[in-house]
Order: sequence, then structure tokens, then C-alpha cells
Amino acid sequence: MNDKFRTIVPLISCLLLLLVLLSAASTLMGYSGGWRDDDEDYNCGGTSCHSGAANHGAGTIEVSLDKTSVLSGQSLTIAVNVTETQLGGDSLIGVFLLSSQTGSNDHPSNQGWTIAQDPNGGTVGDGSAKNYVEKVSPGSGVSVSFKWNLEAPPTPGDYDLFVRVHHGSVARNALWEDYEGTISVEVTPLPSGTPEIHHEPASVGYVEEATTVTADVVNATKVFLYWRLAGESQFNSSEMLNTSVLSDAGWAFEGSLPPRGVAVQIEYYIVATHEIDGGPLVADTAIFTVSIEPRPEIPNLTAWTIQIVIITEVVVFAAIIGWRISKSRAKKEGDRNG
Amino acid sequence: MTETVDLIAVHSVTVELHGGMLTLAAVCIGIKVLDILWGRFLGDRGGILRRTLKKASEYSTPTILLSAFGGVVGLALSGITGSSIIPFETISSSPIALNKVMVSIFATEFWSIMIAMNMVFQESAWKNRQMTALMVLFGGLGYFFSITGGSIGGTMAGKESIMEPFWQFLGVDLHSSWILSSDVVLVLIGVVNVVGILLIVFSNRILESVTSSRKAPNK
Repeated sequence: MNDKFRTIVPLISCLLLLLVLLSAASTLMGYSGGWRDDDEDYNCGGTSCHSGAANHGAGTIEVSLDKTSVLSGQSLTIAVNVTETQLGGDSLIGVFLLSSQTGSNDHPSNQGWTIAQDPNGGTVGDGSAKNYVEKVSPGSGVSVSFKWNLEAPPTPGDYDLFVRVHHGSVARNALWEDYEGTISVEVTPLPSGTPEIHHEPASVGYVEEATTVTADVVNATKVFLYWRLAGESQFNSSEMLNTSVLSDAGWAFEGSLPPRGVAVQIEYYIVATHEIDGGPLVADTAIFTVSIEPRPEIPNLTAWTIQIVIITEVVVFAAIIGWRISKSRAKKEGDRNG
Repeated sequence: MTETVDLIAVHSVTVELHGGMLTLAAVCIGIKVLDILWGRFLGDRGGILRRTLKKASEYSTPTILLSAFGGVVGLALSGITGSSIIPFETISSSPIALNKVMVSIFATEFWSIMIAMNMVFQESAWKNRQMTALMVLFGGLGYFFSITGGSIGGTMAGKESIMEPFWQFLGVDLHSSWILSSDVVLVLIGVVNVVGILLIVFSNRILESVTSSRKAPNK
């Protein structure tokens, strides 16, 4: 009985310890801290932390489009304003822009849409433009704005888009809402001769440096770059220069945003015109935002390597010395004990 | 149809692997220390609690070795998978990525030394006070650098690190470069090498002089 007792008690203690550790770990679950901006289907790829009627939140979602009809391949801006009263400890709001609500293949690209720029500035050029984007809400009841710049599908037709919101609550319940209205967009065929602008937005520029803006444009006689500082009302303009000829009778055009002395955000768009009898045909892009930031410091790799070697040396020296002292003491204690 | 394995998922597995194993090793080191301190100050008093601690301490010795070894293997694997996800050019130009690589190297070093000591001396290492102190020191520093690396990794992935309040309290910026200036590094090279070699060469003599000076008043 006593032996059994001696075996069982440590076993139960270990199990209890494991239970405590596991319960501590469970408080870290549920994607607290968000999921990060990503390409996602409806309901976050099937994860169930934000589903179920009980987790339906009470936030409001407003959606607006800059146009309800767009030429194929041309730009469309969709703005989503989310107001939440129930926010988690990290106050994150995650918004999905979707082309269906089936739970698979819901990304707008599955219907031919291209996300040129997402609400956090991610761009198609570097693969960082996402259909699921998170932002930190400044507070309960404050509207948070999300704006996607899209390029319309090449195939004309009627398209529907959907918006879903994921967020937390004070109790860290994972709440969600769907936009209940209909977001319908008509994509019409491009009239013959209309300019086509293919532009990968600039995601970042650097302080004291001009930011280059390039676009491949077909059927254009002139291309203009319009820009302003975020918050200003008037756009400045300059003509973009054609730099090299492309196939399909197109040209690569290049312009630049002027250098700024401090970190700012610059908004810009591109307009292409094609002069024909009876008036010009015009095409433009959505308004893109580029962040002008200080150029990041480039770390000194040599100093970094030497620093690691030195600290490694210190560690090895300490280990050798400690080892020798321990052995020497153990030997002496052994000698004393006979 | 060819299915590709997402390298980020593989990296997550290796991160979880070494995170869990090194935590187990650190917990077992804690149990060993608690057992040693209990024995030193309270002897065999304490009934069931004492017997449980003794038993847990017995199990801890091989567990420390196994879990630390597994943890270091996981650490190395996560280094390999991590560098496959992020190109070298990105790592070498990002202060936060270089900080992560640096602390991961330190973690590997400290854990490796602790494993070596454990393998050479086995259970007897825990019966020698200085050796125990060394292993606790190396294991502790190894674990500290492991969780620091994890915290930086979490920050790099755009997540809020659980250690964020700790870094804020210390005023540590994970994104800033932790590289010393070239001048300081050059001076350190000289000092560390000279002091280190002198200490190794004269460690026995220093130890003897310290021991004899302690014994002197009793003569």
C-alpha cells in the first residue's frame, strides 16, 4: 500500500503540473493578438474561433464604392467603415473583402479581381496586398476606415463582393459581423481605343528621395501623374515620360513623386488620355497612398559577426574556467574525504 | 497534382518543438534546484511533498538531457526553416532579424554547454554545488535567450509578443539594432581574449590562493 502510494503521488503531482501548464497555455489560444494581414476565405479558412450565432457582434459596417460600373481592367475603390463597441484587449478589427461566402475560393482574385493596394498599404507588386486586413481601433465607438483599390476583372459581367468583420470583445469572445447589404459592381467591356493602365503601386518611399512611379500604358497619347500630401485638397500634376516601348502598342511610362524632408503620406493617381476625333478617351487609376519613411539603417554585418564571436568566446571561457574550478574543488573534497 | 508543404507551417512546427522541449528542460532544472535547496535547508522533512519532489528530481535528470537535446535540435531546425522562408538579403538588412539570429545563436551555445556538462558528469554533476550553479546559469541563460528569440520571432510575424510588457519595462526596442560600434567591438576583442586566456592559465593558482586565504585565519 505504501509503495503504491509512493508511486501514485508523484504521478498525480506530475499530471497536475502538466494540467496547470496546459491551462496556462490555453489562455494564449484563439488567435489573441490577431491573425495578421493575409489572403483568407470566408470564416478565416475554416477556423471556428469567430463563428456561431452566439458570437455575432453588434458593430456597424458601412460600405461605399467610388463607382458601381467600371470598365474591365480599370480601377475601383471600395471603402469599408467599421464601428465596434466590443473590442478585445488589443483593439484589433479584421476585415475581409470576399467574392463569395462559401468558405473556399472566396478571394476576389478567384473572380478575376486584382487587389492593387490593401487598406494597410500592401501592394500587388510585392505580393503584400491582402483581402484580409487588420487595423487597431483607436477606441470603442470610433469608426475605422479600410480602403481597397481593385483592378476590375477582364471579363465583363455583374459581380458581387462581400465584407466580413472579425474582432474581439472585452471578454475576448471572438465576435464577427457580415455586411448585410449588397455590393454589386457592373464590369463593362473596354471601348475600342480606350487607354489601359497597368500599374503596380509603390508601397514605400524614403525621406529626401524622389519616389519613382511607373506604369505600362496601352493606347495613350499622354499620361499624367497627380499627387498631393495626405490631407491636402488639391492635387499637383506632372506629365509622365515614356521610357521604353512595350508589345501591344504600349509604352512604359515613368514619373516621380518629389522628395520630402520628413515622414509623410503621399496620395497619387495616374490619368492616361488618347486623343481621337470627337474628344479624348480617358482612363485613370484609383488613388493610391505611399508612405514616405526614413530609409532604414543598414546593419553593419561585420560588427554583428564579431560581436557574436566575442560573446561566444566569453561563454566558452566562462564554461572552461567554471568547469576547471568545479573539478578542482570536487577533487579537493574527494581528497579531504580520503 | 503536386501538393507543396507550406514552409511557414514547417517552421511553426520546429518553433513549437524547441519551445516546448526547452521549457520542459527549464522546468526540470527548476525542480532539481528546488530539490537541492530543500535538502540543504530542510533535510528530509516535508512528508509527501518532500518525497514527491525527490521522485520528480530523479526523473528530471534524464529529462533535462533529453528535452534540452531535443530543444537544441529543434532550435537548429527552426533556424534552417526560418532562413528558408526569409531570404538572406532580407535577414542581413533587418536589425530585428539579425537580433533574432544573434540571440538564437547564444541560446544554442548555452544549452549546448549545459548538455555537454550533463552528458559528461551525469547525476554526479547535480551533487557538486559549483557544477550545479554552472548548469543552472547556462540553462537559465539558454532559456532566457530562447524565449527572447521567440518573442522577436513573434514580433517579426506581426503578432503581439507575450513578453512585450517586459521589454517595455526595460525600455528594450526589438526593432533597433543591437550591434555595438566597431570601436567598442575592437576593444572588446582584446580585453576578452587577454582576460580569458589569463584566467584559464592561472585558474588553478587563483583558486588555490583564494582557498588558502580563506583557511589562513584558522591556522
